[in-house]
Amino acid sequence: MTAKTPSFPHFFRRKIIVYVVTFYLALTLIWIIPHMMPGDPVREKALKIIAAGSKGGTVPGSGLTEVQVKRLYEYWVKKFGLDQPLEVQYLIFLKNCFTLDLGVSIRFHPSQVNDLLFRSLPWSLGLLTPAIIVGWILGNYMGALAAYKRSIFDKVLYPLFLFMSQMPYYWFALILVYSLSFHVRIFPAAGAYTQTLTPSLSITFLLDLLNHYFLPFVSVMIPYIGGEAIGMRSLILYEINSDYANYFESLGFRDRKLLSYTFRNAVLPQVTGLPIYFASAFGGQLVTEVVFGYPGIGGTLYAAVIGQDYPLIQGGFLMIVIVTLLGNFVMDLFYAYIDPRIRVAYRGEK
Amino acid sequence: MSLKDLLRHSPKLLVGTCIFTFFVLFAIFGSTLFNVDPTKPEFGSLETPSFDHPLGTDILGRDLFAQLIHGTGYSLKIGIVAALITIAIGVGVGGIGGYFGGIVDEILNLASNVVLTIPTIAFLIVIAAYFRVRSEWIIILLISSTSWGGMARSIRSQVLSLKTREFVDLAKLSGISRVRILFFEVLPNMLSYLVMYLALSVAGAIGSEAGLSAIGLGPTAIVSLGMLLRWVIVWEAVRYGAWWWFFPVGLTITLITLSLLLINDGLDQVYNPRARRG
Repeated sequence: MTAKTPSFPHFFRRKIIVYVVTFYLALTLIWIIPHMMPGDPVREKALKIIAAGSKGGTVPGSGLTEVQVKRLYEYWVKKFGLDQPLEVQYLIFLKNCFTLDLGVSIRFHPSQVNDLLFRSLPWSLGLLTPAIIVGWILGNYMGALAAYKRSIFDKVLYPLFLFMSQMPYYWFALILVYSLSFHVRIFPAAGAYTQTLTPSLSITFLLDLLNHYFLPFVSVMIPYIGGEAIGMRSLILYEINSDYANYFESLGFRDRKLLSYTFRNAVLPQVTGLPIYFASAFGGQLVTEVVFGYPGIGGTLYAAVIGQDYPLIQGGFLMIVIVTLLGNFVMDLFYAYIDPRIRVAYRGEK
Repeated sequence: MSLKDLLRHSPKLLVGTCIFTFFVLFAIFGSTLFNVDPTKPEFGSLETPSFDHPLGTDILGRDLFAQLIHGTGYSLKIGIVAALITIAIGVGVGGIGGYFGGIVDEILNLASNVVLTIPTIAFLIVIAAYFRVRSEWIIILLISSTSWGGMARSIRSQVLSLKTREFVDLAKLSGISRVRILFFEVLPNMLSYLVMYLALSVAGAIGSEAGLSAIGLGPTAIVSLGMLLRWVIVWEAVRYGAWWWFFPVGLTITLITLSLLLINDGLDQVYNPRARRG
């Protein structure tokens, strides 16, 4: 038993090394992989467009004219230094990443990758933030309820929570669309607002926005409730069975007091887990946005995957990596300042 | 403790094992009992469930029951193999780092933390997008190479506490090599933990495969459960009101992962007295 409690600066120095290495490896990986593939897809793609373009007419599927294709290729050669030696290309790529300048999308030419991503970011944040906050509150409340009440209440809720947390979230989205949009036509099946309306702050538009918002919101929230409830339930059970709770009970204190003590202890890991869940949902809710035709990061990344739009895929990846690292960092702050026990446990020392 | 005792101790373990065994048998014997090619469009389009087609047909006229049998088989295979590789890497990295310590540990621990921090699904998307042809082995390797971080970290902390025990000192005195001590003296103590983690890993890998396939980045040549969901999304089964098309697939994925979670929870109850009241 080495009782070596790490100091704050030491703890953060280790974490920051992890983040820097992760970020650097992630960047390097998205540069290396296309170069490892037979015939460098990035270059190949550009050459294919050129070849198709030079035969005259437009490129099938890309909707580009010959002049646009030539310009795109020249732009690319310059942007990523495709005529330069590999190590120079790598440095140019790193520089572009750090200045968040990822070039032009192929599929949505001539839009900048940056513009596309920042245009869809508010939609994703607007969908995830409220759904996760509401889901977190409901999930923890219901999980705690199941743990305190036990008996038949728990026997029904626990399998339900398990089911909610384990179903593929996009499958649940499909069921929602089928039941509440196809079978009973209550909610629109796709989009963020009716295309004929122009976005404005009018009552009509806001109602329309909410109407479109409901199904995606529920489809993100319900699976999250399940996961949080299961976590909370087992944490409360652990606390109730702990020595201090037994001692407390034997002293004859009221249940309410014990309830509030155990709850406060149990909720800690749930709070610290919040940012990390947000980050993983940010990358993970891809298919939900596809099912609902929602114009967020997920939908954009999906379009990029389908269209083999590598600059856009790289941009989306970069954005998800940054959000994840931020989420981890916020979680570390929580860890370090809320619960010193976890800080020690984190280093794997007992 | 005999197997019977194990199951009697925890209803969760019993239920989980039953559901999981059902799907394994369904995948193994299904195609013998119901011998229909899942990829051949030789029936009517969008037929509702009937005696000939227990789950109906899809828009191309392929039998959905046959698809479910083959999909379950491939998904289980991918899940189990990927989980075994994940555990092998996790045990290797965590065990060696924890037992040998020093600079080796620093590097391996950093590697596990990096793998743990990287957003898995985004990572899988970027890599998978560059492979034009993806065999199930590429998918298995991708999934296992991105998911061993947590495993390595918990194995490491367990080895750290186990290596200070007396039986390790005794083993050292008897002069066997450090590698032997690690793998034959220390690691067997974690067997129950490894089995629990295996259940979780299989569930995770099946989920990852489904997620990857659903966005069109799964294995290109086989019918997995994720691929079936992919077809549901691409052909917009919901717009045809074909509930028999999309409902059973998702339910199967949910029940398989749920059963594995129950097994994990049940084993925890059996091995860990503190969780027994759960």
